[in-house]
Amino acid sequence: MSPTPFWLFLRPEAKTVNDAAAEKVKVRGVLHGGVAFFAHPFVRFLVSRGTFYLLAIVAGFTMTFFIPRLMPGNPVDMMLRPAQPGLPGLAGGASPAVGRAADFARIRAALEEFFGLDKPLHQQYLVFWQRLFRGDLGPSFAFSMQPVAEIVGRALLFTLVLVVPVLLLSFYLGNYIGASAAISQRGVSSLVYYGSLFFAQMPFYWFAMILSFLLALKAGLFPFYGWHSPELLPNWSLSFLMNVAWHYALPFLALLIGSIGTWTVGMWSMMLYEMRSDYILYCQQLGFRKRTLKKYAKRNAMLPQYTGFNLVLSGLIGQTVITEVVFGWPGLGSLGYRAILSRDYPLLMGTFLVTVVVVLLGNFLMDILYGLIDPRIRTGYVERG
Amino acid sequence: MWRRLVRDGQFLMALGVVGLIVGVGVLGPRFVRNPHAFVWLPNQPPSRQFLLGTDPFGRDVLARLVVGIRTSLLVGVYAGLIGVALGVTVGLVSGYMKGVAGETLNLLTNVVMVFPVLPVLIILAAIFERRSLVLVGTIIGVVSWPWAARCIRAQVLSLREREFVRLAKISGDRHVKIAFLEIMPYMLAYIVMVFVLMLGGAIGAEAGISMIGLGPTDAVSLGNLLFWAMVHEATRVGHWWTFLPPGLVLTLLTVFSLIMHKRMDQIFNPRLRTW
Amino acid sequence: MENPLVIVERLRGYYVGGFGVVHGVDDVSLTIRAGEGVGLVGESGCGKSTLAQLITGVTGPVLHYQGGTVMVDGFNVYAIPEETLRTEVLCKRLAYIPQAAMDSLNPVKRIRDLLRDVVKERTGRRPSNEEVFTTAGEHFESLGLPRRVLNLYPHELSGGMKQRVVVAISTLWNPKILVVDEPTSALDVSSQKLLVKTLMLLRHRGTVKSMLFITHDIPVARQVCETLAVMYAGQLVEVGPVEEVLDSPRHPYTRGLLSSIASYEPHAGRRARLECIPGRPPDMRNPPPGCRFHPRCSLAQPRCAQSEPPEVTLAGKRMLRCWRFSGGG
Repeated sequence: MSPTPFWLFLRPEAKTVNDAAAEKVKVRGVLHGGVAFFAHPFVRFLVSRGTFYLLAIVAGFTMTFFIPRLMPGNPVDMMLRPAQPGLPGLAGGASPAVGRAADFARIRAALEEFFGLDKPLHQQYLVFWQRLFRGDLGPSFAFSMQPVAEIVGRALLFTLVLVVPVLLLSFYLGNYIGASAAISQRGVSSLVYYGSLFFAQMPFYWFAMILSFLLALKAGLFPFYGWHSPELLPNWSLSFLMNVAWHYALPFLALLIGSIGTWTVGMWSMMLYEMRSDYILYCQQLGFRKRTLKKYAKRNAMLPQYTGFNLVLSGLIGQTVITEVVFGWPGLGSLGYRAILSRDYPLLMGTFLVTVVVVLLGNFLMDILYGLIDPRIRTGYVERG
Repeated sequence: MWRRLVRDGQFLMALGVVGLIVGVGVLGPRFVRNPHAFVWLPNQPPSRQFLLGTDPFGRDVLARLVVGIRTSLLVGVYAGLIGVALGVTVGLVSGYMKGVAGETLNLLTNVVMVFPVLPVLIILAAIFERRSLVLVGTIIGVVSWPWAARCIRAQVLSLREREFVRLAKISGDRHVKIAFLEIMPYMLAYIVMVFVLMLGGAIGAEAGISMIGLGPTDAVSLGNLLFWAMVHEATRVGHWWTFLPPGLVLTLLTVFSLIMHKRMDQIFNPRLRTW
Repeated sequence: MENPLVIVERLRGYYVGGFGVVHGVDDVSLTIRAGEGVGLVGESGCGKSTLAQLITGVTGPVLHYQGGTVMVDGFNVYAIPEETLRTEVLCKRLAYIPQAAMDSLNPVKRIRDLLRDVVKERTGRRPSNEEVFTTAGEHFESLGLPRRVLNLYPHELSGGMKQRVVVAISTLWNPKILVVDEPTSALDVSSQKLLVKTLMLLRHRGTVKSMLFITHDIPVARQVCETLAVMYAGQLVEVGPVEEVLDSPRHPYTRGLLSSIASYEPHAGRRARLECIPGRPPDMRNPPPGCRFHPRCSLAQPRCAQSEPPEVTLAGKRMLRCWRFSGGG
């Protein structure tokens, strides 16, 4: 018998899945499809999650809009104060862009135009959104007034190069270790559990410092800082890329080990829980081999782990941002750090916006993925009888 | 219920470790040298006189560590109090009120929760030039409350349908009275649990923003110690005594407060146990 | 009734865990003959499900077999290697239908995929969807389940259907003995009726020869079984032909149990009162000394507190565990 045609799922009231006349059903399917499309549980799911994230993004952007305007005093003044000619600069505060009084006035004008503080609030808000849609995040004070969007875009790439592989690799490794540990002997099991808990809860950037101390200083295997050796000029040659990979190794490792810990802890608990569930016992009664039972438990324990992606991503972004600062890896973290030191609010806001969008988009993608994987979300109706 | 808790081996051990660290933080500063004073040659490795050596300014690292524990704990406590206050209120109301009020609060909780904690902390802390302990604690609390709210809400939802609440409703008590007098006693254990969780998280969060330079200004905290170690490139010059201890204490504090929380959860919320 | 299919002798099984050691089943002996349906009744926690699991030999992580023998159609369950138990006894000769059938089906697999896995595990070969649909479909339909449920996920089925699906899956290899654990507890009345009909159908057809039917529901036990066994605190206290036990119970516990149940008794009249047994079931970590029922028994004698009464068979058909019926009473 042929596999169930997908479009039959478009009719949630369908009582039978293999109705006799396929033609009749097909026509009805198309007609009902339009309306029933939105009644389909998965579509409803997509729409509700999408709206939620949209709401969150708007909320986040609005907060970004208000923050510099809620500070005591004029944000432009705050930014420029340490850089005013004649004033002693704070540690790391003075921007190299500010040299003479004429430059200073020019910069001040540009910043005031960006913040638009002379206009009424709702107009500022409108302009804010207009700019966002154009991709204009303002000028970066610390980077000689280059557009923030460009700078942040470049940094984003560096951060993603760290975050995405760590996320994916740690997921598979961590789940594997967690599942194996859960079904091993008690001693090994507990050791792995508490070890992973330690790795999961430690500050990843602290572990990064330890790795740096052990592997860079003591063993001399890896470099301390930066994304390439200073004497090399960035290019696409293999040797340069290898050099970058060499600099990439330590931050990657630090984040990876910590993330593996996070997944292991979760999977360990889930696996123990699944191994004791009723369906495993029943399958045992049906004569399943122990091996297959473990496979079943593992597969089912993984499902809720997918929902953990959201939390892990949020946490990982935070840890990555700081680890970047420790290693001088030019991602969003280092950028934010620089922005804070130079009191460059447009840059800081831009970095924050992009970070938040990345996290929220990632969460949305994860929700969709999970919806596709878990059959309980894909199908929604219950047979009668 | 509480009696079972104090007999639980794992909980007691975790409590012991946390208690020890807290004890050091509370009483320790009395017994150590001045953490701000330049007491010796800089960059000395640990010796019998200076158990954790000195930092690049010649300050006693052990003294700084002990004072740092106290500072971090204080920030954690402030954050925990604010987080629990906000979280319990929102959780209680959103769990108890059916309809629009409850649903809106729940939506609010979920929206705030979906934001990555550290970036939001950074952006909020960057507003202020000078940040006191209370300020930092407040900011952290204001960002971390959704988790507490969610836990509390789940409990309230399950308690709401229980008999004693229905009885109170029938006898005409007003909603607020019911919420606080009937439900709260059961919630007390849960609130303590949530507080422990928030404390652990807040200490970690404080470390995070201190590392980026936005921690409490002019205060010595664990995160601050790590920040200075980073700025002075301690890993490059091999001064492990400046960054290893603070991070270790931090991790131990977070790990064991988490274990405490987990044991409390297992005992107050018996579910399918994994024996 | 012919030769015995299941012989349980002095079976003991305990739960061991962080909570201590709980006596699940202590010294239970029972025989189920071919063609016999044995009903097992008792309060919650008396050990009915434990006994069922111990008979199948699949006990799960916390329950441990402690002693005694279980013979299933000639196989000594606890003496044969696990592999033999898996391939020869389970499903083929003895099938277990679990209590919470709702949770017994893997939630992420369609029924037909589960069946394909079951066949693979048992025979080493993985059948195609068509094969499963034809053969299993036939069996399902003979039990009143539409073939199409094979294509569905468990959560798309109603509670009653899930229970009957579990019955269907467990009986695919036509086992002679069926151990059914409280099949009707979680169902509404109409689903209960359907399920009981399904079980009776299986027995009627002769594929299933004997049944161990565990239930709270005494009227259903009366309908389905020939023999009734009453369990208390991990032991059997009374066993006998179902009509006799229900009409003239001898053990004090059975008497108390039956008079505390409200059921349709046309001859009882309005004057019948519901009586309850005073006290509570014992903590099975420390069962009471002597007869386990003695703290709650209105007819207890000093001897009851001192030593455990043995199992005594009266007139070849009634088994009792009570000092009032053993020698020297």
